[in-house]
Amino acid sequence: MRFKTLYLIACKSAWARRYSLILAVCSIAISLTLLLSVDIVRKQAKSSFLNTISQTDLIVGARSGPINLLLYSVFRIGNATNNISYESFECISSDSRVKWTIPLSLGDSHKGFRVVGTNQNYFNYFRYANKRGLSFDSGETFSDLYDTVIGKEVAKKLGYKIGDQIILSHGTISTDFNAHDDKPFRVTGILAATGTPVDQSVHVSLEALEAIHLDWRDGARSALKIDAEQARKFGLTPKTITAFLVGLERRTQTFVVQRNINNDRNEPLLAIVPGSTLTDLWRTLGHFETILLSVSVLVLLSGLVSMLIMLLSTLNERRREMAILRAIGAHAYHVTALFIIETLLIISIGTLAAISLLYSLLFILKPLLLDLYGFAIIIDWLDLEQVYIILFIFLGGVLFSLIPGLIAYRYSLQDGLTLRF
Amino acid sequence: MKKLLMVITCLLVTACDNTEAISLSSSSNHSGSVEYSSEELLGKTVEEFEAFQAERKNKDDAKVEQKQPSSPEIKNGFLQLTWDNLVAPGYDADSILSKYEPLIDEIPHGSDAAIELYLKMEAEFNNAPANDNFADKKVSIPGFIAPLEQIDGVIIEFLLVPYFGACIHMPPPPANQTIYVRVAADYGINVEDAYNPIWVSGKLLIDKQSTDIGSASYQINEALVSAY
Repeated sequence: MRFKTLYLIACKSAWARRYSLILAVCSIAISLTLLLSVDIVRKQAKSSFLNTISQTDLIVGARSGPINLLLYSVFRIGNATNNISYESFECISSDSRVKWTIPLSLGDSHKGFRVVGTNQNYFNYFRYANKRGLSFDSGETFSDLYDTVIGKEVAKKLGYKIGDQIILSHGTISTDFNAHDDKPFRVTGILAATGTPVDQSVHVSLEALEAIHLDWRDGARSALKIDAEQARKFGLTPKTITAFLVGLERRTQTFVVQRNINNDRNEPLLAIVPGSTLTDLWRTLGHFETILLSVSVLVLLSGLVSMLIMLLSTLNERRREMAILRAIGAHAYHVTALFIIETLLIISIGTLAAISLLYSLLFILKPLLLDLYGFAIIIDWLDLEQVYIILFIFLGGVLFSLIPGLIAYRYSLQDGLTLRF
Repeated sequence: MKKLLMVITCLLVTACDNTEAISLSSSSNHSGSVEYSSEELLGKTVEEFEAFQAERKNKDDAKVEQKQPSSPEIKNGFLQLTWDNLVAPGYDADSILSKYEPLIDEIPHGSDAAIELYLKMEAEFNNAPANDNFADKKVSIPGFIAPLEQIDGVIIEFLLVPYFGACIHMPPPPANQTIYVRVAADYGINVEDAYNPIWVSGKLLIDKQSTDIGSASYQINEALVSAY
């Protein structure tokens, strides 16, 4: 019997039982979609997480934990334990081994987005994702005291454009009673999207932060009001900042400078190597990724098993079919081949369905994920590992189909033809 | 009873005497530390103790002489280095300590001068120069990594150090116990493998233009990386 004939028989037999087979196709398609999408999200979350900062040799902040410092300075998650003095910042900035420093002053917010007080170095030296720098989508950097540069996400979500006036809030949640409403800021620049927390930041100068806090004393608004124009006349050199990023002349000096900063006898400071701390943090979070992946592998296995159940359960009703085939001259291995062909059919259709489902999901969810969580997915072809996953399913399916195939193989020729009472 | 008291005072004094020494040697990979275990000292009279101390000193001196790193063997065209090889001769913790020993004895304990002296010794230790003997040679050296730069979860630049967790463990290793490594293409390390010891092979460069006077700066570009 030729393959083509076998194939046609398998197709026709499958079509006769199409309703239960469609269920098998669905279970394969859904479980494969789940596994592939978990794999895609896992890989992209990892690279977007690890690409948040690049080319920065040290991060310096108040003495706390390395991961805490990394989280609040780079990811803008959580809060600093303490501020550090501006003198320390200036002293380290002027060290001959230091090439550049980027000061960061955190604590205020604008409608849920963190406000970052910094200076021009931020736009010149900040690097992410393999040495990429920041660029302006529109507008330019701040020049006036009450100018602000906002991230792409901020602009998109709040619908801001160049020239708009915004009001910052004291603390990290905005209400109308803690607003710095007497000193509005003007948007002068919108940064291009980076896929990092920069997109969700509102950048102002250190002096501006100093100015809006002139009439805030000891953590509360003072009765003495200083308006926006009067504030310009004050000395606005900051007294403290939250943290700063350091780029060194030579990376070989990383540990030497780190040691000097950590041993600073004037102020308790903590310097961390961001690359190393990021790796540590990822290794802690990475376990969740493994758990997620193993759950979806199990779902896929259960999909395959449900296909096996379906094949086995129809085995009995197909005895007559098998017997007739044998009676008209089919060999026992032809019967086994029929099962393998049927399984391959189910898996091929299931895989095609899964891939189309996956890409439609990605296209639908992409704008939603970006909107809700600021997580940008890049839609790309399946990578080698994902192709291996699909091959693994085909292999597993063929192995599984051998079970009913072999049972049918062992049925004697007259088994299905004998009438049993 | 009187004897015992004397021994205890003596112990205390020696402990103070060695405070600097102990903390200093703990930052040098625990090589040649001058610590005395209390079991060794308890129940000895002052005379016995002094004799014991002298004996230990002689032993330590002998150790210093022995410790001159043996010349490394060559395997597959690469000199197989150990971290001791990277310390310039005469700049290990013991040598620096013995150099300052007379001063340590003079200065009253806990005084500002003592702290200053400690800082001076530490600075000398940390800024020890590189060992020129292996400059521009093809070398292999095992170590742990402190990642600096990565692309999509693959580490491409790191500092190679003699023990794990160097960037968290205080204090970090001195400059001559650190190698700045840039890996050759396709030799990047997965973030998941960042905790494993590795072999790094390549041409050992010494950065002569280091801004710090005398400070060592080892570097290997186009490094080949393999599992230890």
